[in-house]
Amino acid sequence: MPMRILVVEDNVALLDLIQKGLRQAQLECRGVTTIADAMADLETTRYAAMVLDCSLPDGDGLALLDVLRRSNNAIPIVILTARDTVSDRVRGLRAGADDYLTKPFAMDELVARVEAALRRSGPLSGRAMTLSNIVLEPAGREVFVDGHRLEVSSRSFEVLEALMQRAGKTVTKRALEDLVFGMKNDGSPNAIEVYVHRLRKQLKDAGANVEVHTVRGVGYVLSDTR
Amino acid sequence: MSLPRSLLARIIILHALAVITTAVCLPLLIDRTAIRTATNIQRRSLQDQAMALAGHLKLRSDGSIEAQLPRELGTRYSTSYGRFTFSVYDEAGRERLTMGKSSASSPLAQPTTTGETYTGSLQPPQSVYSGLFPVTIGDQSFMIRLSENLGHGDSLLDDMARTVTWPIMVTMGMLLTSLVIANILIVRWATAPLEATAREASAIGPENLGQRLSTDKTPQEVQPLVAAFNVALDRLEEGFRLQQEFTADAAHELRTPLAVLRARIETMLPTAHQRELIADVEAMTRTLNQLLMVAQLEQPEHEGPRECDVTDVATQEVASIAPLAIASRRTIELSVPDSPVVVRGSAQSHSWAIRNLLENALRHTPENSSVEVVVSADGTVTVGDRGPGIPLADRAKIFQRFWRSDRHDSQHAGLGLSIVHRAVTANGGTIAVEDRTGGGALFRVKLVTLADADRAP
Repeated sequence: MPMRILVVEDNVALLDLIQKGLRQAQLECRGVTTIADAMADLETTRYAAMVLDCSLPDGDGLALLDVLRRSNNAIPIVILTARDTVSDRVRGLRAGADDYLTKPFAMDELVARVEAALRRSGPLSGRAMTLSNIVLEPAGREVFVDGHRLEVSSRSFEVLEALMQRAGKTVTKRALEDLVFGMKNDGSPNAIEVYVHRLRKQLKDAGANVEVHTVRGVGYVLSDTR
Repeated sequence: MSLPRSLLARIIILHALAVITTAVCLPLLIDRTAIRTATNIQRRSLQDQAMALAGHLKLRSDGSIEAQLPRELGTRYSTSYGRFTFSVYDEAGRERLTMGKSSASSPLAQPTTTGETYTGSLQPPQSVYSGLFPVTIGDQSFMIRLSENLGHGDSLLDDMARTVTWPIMVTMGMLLTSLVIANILIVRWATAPLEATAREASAIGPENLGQRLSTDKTPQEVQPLVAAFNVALDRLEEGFRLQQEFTADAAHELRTPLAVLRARIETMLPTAHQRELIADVEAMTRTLNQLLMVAQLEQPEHEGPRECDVTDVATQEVASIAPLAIASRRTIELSVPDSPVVVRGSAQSHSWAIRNLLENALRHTPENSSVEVVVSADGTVTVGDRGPGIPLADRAKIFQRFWRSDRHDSQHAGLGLSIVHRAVTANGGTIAVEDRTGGGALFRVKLVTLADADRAP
């Protein structure tokens, strides 16, 4: 079954461009301009994810989000908004949005967010991730550089997976600690640094065209160096 | 002379004037009334005595007058008693008979009066009060002059007239004084609800514009004022709401076309041509964002917490800008204390402040250098770069809107540092810039920690 994305955006020009961008990333989609049309479409068609604008002619996009979550519809939703205040963001995420993107946005960013949402809770979960010449297979917990399998420890794999999911963005050290050690956080204070250091060396030795940058006092950024 | 503004002071002053006026006029009035009443009594008493005397006078055949007084009357007009003196005069004014203290008698100046006349006064220094009465003895007309020596121990009427004033005055004074005190208490009690209303009013600020003054306890006379104040608050709140709506609408109306523009560039142009155009869109977006920040910082914040953990805000902002720094071959590092630093002000305004400081630092720091952000437990946030630093002469100006070190820099509107300044000072903080050790500028922001706020509320 092809993965279809429902795009709800009242600006027709932007709606067309978003659909074009998603299709270029091999994502099927359909666009509507109102909450009413979106509701009608959701009744008849199964969508893998939704891109939802906040302000629509017949109401607030967050209201639609709220209705869906109340009826236990867990469809991954990326919110588009023209407002970028902290309280708006908190409101969106509290209402059950998977992600939140402020206009204007880079099309790559939107595609990445939609894919990330699909991977977290949609049909793409367990699907391989690619960055530069690295491929990460969550199912078999395997990492390939230029097609050659790289032996990584279980914890290094978790660190790399987290960094790749948010490639080009900062992943905080605390988030990595929570992920690797769980909430009990019994790792030594420098444990994450040790894993990252080891991972960085392994990737370099294997000829991976990526770099793990340290943002001192904050976390790490994995970037494509090609 | 103008009256003081305090109602209580006005009432006390006016009341004091009334008391003073009363205190001056009342004794005069009482004194006059007492003297007049005493005088009337005195006259009537003299007249009655004179008429009684006349009944005991006999005209002898030789023309002399004989006083056939009963015992008690004789004693009364005796020289030894000394209180009364009476003389009888004929029509020619000659003295025909005198009893009592002889020194008090004297010839009549004008014997031909037809009615009674009185001389003397009950007030000092007069010591004798006399009445002259026409009487008929036998068939002839005579005049009786009856005088009372007021200095005599039995003569009380004049003493009473003079002494009655004081006790009345003292009672009166006490009454008036207690009235003043009662007035002060009444005014205090009556204006107490106003003070409560004033306290309510002073608690209303931009952050709780929805509050209204309660009218259930305010005095009826003041209710129109309170109601008008509440209506003024309604209008103010409406004004703020319209402004906020406008900002939100402006954000939407400008950001969506920018999103269209950017998406068009990214989907329709070959990659080689995209870079500069996208940089332009990003510069426009940044300026728009800053304008919206300026607008929102001028508005009251209605919702959300009034305090935040600044280590958390700094971590988020550094994390969010770090990829841009890395892409432009610069590094950024953060140092925070182990425990949270809770400061006054919303996470929103502090994140704007820190974001603009970071953007400013990354713009000025050269390639391969580092921007250092340090948050201290006392609420200080410093952002240091390795750029050219800020000349002393410019340090006062850099926080002004639209100020730019380079007038030809069209990519930056010169809003960033003014936003930082506004966001920091609006929450009671301070900002200063100094030279960084080893070169560059160091921006030092001191925020108000909850501990600071507790110390000086």
